[in-house]
Formats: sequence, structure tokens, C-alpha cells
Amino acid sequence: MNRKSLGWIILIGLGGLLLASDLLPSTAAPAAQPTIAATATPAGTTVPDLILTLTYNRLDKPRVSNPPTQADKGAVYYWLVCIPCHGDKGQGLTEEWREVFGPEEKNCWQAECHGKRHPDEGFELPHAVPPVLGLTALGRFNNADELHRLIATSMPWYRPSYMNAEESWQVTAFLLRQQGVMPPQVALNEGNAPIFRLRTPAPSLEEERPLTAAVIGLLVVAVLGVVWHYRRRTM
Amino acid sequence: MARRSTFFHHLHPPTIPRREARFRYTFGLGGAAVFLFVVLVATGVLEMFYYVPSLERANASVQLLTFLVPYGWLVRGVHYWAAQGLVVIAVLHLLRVVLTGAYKTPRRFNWLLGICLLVLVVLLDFTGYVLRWDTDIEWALLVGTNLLKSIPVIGDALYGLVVGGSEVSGDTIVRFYGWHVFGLALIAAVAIGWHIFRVRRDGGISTPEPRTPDRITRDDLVRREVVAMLMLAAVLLLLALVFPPELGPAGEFSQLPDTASAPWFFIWVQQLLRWGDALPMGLLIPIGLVVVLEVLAKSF
Repeated sequence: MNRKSLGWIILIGLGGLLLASDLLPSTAAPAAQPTIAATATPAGTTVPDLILTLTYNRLDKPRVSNPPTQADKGAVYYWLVCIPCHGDKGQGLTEEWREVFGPEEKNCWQAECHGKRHPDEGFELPHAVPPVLGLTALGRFNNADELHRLIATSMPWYRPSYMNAEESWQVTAFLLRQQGVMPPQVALNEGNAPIFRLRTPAPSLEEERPLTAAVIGLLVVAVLGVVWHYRRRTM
Repeated sequence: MARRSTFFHHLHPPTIPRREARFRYTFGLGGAAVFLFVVLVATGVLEMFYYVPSLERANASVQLLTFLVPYGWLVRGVHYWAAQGLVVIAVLHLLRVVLTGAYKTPRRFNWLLGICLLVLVVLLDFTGYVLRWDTDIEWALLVGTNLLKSIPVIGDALYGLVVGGSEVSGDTIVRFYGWHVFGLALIAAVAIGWHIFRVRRDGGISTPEPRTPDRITRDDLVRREVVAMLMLAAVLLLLALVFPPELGPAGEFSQLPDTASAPWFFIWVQQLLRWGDALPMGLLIPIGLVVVLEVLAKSF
């Protein structure tokens, strides 16, 4: 092996190392996930408006990627339909969440909109609306298929037939993503729903990719080491 | 005490002519192909722990491996890229052998063995491609298996044998899985062992007569092989990291995609089929090409 070949190998090796080091910081940072209550700043707002909207607003529309993923669409649907009962963080109908409704609306049952004697446009609501996100949430379901079946047949509470099939998959995908049991790039459907278990976190690509890049760097270093040793011995 | 000869020592004699080990003569393509096959076996075994060859679970189990098993995406990615690389390297190896005249006597038998191996590699790639069982494989599987029906007399029987019935079903996955992980893979493993055994048996790598008696030792040969394997491993990992293989939703065969698409190594057959009937274009021409390569060694 002549000096020119060795030079090329070193150059390629350094390139590999650079690539590996470039991948480390960019992938180690957690990917931006759209949240239910993200701070939004609508275009065309004036400065005072901007100051107001920069404060944390729990009712803002979630920010989603473009084009939106299935789970992103679920996040928007959740914000539109599910949020009043299940909360901005999926915490359920807690007292703290009902405070957000304001003094007149916060007691759903005494106001009679959702009590036993509700008007026609209202509906009866259970006193305990379970959380759908968090450590204790969704414990009764084994996998995404079971969760989807309930969402598709029983939600929204007041009119189960309101949600179409596509929307029920979107909402299920959103809940799974937020629970960390389904990677964001997956499209949930009838075929793969049974494999996503609600108590088994999905491995994080953000953790696995940098380690893989580091192994590639190590292999390149090993190649350079062997070549250098060989050259030194034969010179 | 005489040292016991092993297969390794047969492949790595105490010394070999330096010209045989020149990278710019062989590009290490044969060795690279063997390494890729070993990688394919290793990653394939890991994939077998999760893959379920059934209509309901084939695609879901690949999704499970890809999205839920720690580093499963990497195992699948390396398997995929090693498979694609093996087809490319096998073809380049064939071209190198043709261009350097290495197919001639006394290496004629090894040339024939090599052609059979190329066919096996392509069949392994196709059966592996089908095992994903997503919407992308639907056309390829239907067109590929329907080609068999165009063979006179035995066509229908052959079709039934390959797909496991009168139409594509869950049995088809089991058939393809069996051929992929055992039938074809076992034949290929034996043929590869025989192929590399014959390289030394036939007098080593074919080169023009050496002008100098310069030789390299076994240690030097092994060191070069290790460097090449490490580099290839790095390339495979990098490809799996940057270009993960695609995976669509489960194929249902009830509503086929609008456009037919073959895997890249069969694009040429797909184009041939657009120009004419299934039997001559889809079977006779490809088989004819293999026959031409087989008789090449005898004719020139």
C-alpha cells in the first residue's frame, strides 16, 4: 500500500469520524413533539398581542409538523373534541382543569349542562372522567387494538357515531405517541395495532442512533489503526 | 508434529503471490460477497426471533422488529443493505471474472458454480423482499408467481408448488419463508463454501504470469481481509443509519396499487414484460441470459 492510498484511507476515515460526530449532537437532542397546549403566535399580531400570546395558553391549537403525521392529526382532533373532558394534558376532568372553564362553567354538574336533568343540547357526564395520558392512564388496555376499539365504539361520550374510522385511528395514534409506546413515524392501522403494548415504551431512536454513529466511528478508527500498524511494520 | 490442515488454512496458504492480493486487480469483490453473506446469515438469524410467517402477523412482526425491538431497525437495515450490496457485488464480481478471463479452464467449473450462486442470490433477495408483506410487494409477488403459469404443461403445478395453493395466501408466506431461511440459504451456503474452496484448488486467483516472485504471508492476507471487513461493516451500518429500508402497511391483495413496481434488481424483467408476452420476455430471456453465461466458459 503506497502513501497515496494511505492518504485516501485517512481522508475517508476522518470524513467518517466527522459524520459520526455530526450525527451525535443533532440526534441526541429530543425531537420536537407537538404538544396539546403549545404556545402559538398567529401571524399578523401586533406587539401587545404578541406579549399576551407568549404567555402559556392551555387552549391553543397544537403545533404540528408539515405534512402532519397521523398522530399530529390526532392531536388536532383531540384538541377539537376530546380536550374539554380529558384535559389539555390528558389528565382527565380534574378540578384544576375545570378551573380553566371559568367560574360559571367550571362545575359541569351543578350548572346542569351535564347533570341528570340536562337540557336537550347537553348530556350527562360521569363525575370521574379518567386520564388518558400519564403513568396511570390506559392501564385497562393491553394494546393499541383494544384502546382503538373503545375509542371507535364509545367516543366521543355524547355521540359515539361522531368519529369516523380514520379519526379514531388518528386519536389512538396520538395517545400512543404521547405515552411513548409508539414511534412518531409509525402509521397505526388494524394490522399493526396489536403489537403496540400500552405498558411497553418504544425504544428511542434518539438514543440508539448516536451510539450507532459512534460504532461506525470506532470501526473507521480500527481500520486506520490496522493500516497504520501494517505500514509501520513494513516500512 | 504436523499441523492439521483446516478449511481456513486451505483458503489462507502460508504465502500467496502479491499480485493475487492486489486490490486494484480483484477489488476484493469475492471476499466482500462472502462477508456480506455471513452478515446476512447473522442478521437473518436475529430477525427470525421476531418474524412470524403468517398472513395476519408477517407485516406486523416486521413492524415490531423495526419500531419496538431495541436496535431492531439497525438489524433490519444492515440485513437489507447487505442483501442489496450482495447483488451489486456479485454482478461486479462476475464482470471482473469475465474481463480478466478468469472463467477459462481450469476455473470453468468454478465459473459455473458462480453463475448458480448469482441466481441463488437474486432468488434469496426476491424471497426476502416478499417476506415484508407490505403493499409494495403485492405487484411483484403476483407478477413474479403468475409468470410460472405461462410455462407449458408444468406451469400450473409449479405455481401451486411456489405459492402453496391455487392463489396467493398465508401459505405463500410460509413457502417463501421456508425457501428464504432454509432451502435457498442452505444451498447458497454450501455453494459458497465450495466456490471459495475451488479458488485455491484451481490454483488461486487468476492473474497474468507473475513477473516477480514477490509473495505475501498468511498474516498479511488476513490483515487485509480484516481491514476490508471492518470497512464494509462501517459502510453497512452507515447505510442502515442514514437510509433505513422502507416498510408499508400490510398487503391485502384486495386493492392493488395503481402502478406495478418490481424490486430494483428485477426492473429489467418488468420492462421486458411491457414489450411482450410473459413466457418469452419474463422467463425465456432471463433464463437464456444465464445459459449464455454458462456456455461462455466453453466457447471462449
